[in-house]
Amino acid sequence: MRAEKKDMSVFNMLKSERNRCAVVVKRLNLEIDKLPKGSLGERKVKSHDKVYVYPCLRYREGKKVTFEHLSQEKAEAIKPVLARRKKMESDLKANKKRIATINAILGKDSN
Amino acid sequence: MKIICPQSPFMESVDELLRELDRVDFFAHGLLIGSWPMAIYTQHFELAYGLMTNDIDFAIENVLKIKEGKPLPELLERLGYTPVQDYSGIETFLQGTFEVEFIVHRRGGSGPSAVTVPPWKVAAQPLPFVDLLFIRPVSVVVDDFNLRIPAPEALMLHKLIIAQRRLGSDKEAKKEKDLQQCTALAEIVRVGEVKQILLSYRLSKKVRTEITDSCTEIGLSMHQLGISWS
Repeated sequence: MRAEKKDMSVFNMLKSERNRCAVVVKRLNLEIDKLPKGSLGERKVKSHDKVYVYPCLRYREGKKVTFEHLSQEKAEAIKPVLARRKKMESDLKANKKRIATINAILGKDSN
Repeated sequence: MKIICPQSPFMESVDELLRELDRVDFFAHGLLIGSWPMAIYTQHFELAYGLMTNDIDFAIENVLKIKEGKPLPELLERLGYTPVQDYSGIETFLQGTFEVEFIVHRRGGSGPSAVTVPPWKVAAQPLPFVDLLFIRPVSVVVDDFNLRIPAPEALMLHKLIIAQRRLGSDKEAKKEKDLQQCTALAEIVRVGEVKQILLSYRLSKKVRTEITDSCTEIGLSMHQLGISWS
């Protein structure tokens, strides 16, 4: 489409929406950083012919996967916090996708 | 004015949100504001405007008069929204790319950065001229729920003012969006209603100048819209 036939308000609207999403991404990143990462799991420990099952928090640190032993109470308490983090990570992904889509529509020269 | 929408102009998730807010009687004290009322006007008046951002703003009137109500964060969390509070205390509810915020009227130039609405347990953002949106609002019936939105005349006057007051890095884009909405709304506003609102709402000299500037920038005739200061 030739430049003079473009409705620039549509492009500005998209830019404004992209900026809004960028602010949301920033806020989500700040919130996510405050929350513990990983997922809840169980570890089985064999000792003296008995098997003990412990709740644990699994998370990755670089290449290494860490298993952190938790008490049953702590595991129950951390469950909703991990769910909140997961939800925020999903929202973060959605916002980044929206920014990428808007960038693709606007083209590389419209910052 | 009452608008009956034969079919919802919103997407399902927004319908769900509005339906739930109507169920707890939110719209007795609240309005849907921002760009979403434009979806209703676009459908009802066949306007050529179809741009909506994913932030859904609600204005709340007379916070101190709200004596009872259910906590909104619980309602929103049930719908999948996550509450996030920023450093100033304002609460935003996020779901995917949707962002729900509550806004109240701010008197004067300064005040607290957030106002809590006790029965609803939400921290709203105080902004100037929000009371203007509550003058003669429109009742809307959509399928199985009702809501309230600002009158097109009040919304246009509000946008004409705030277009000149936008701050931040994307103020030009926001200003253009405000003025584009004004251009669309100018086609449907009733001169008598504009005059009525201007009679009941005191505007300072500075605000009048801002309205004049906005009209000049988009080539709207103030006389034809019923805007006069005499």
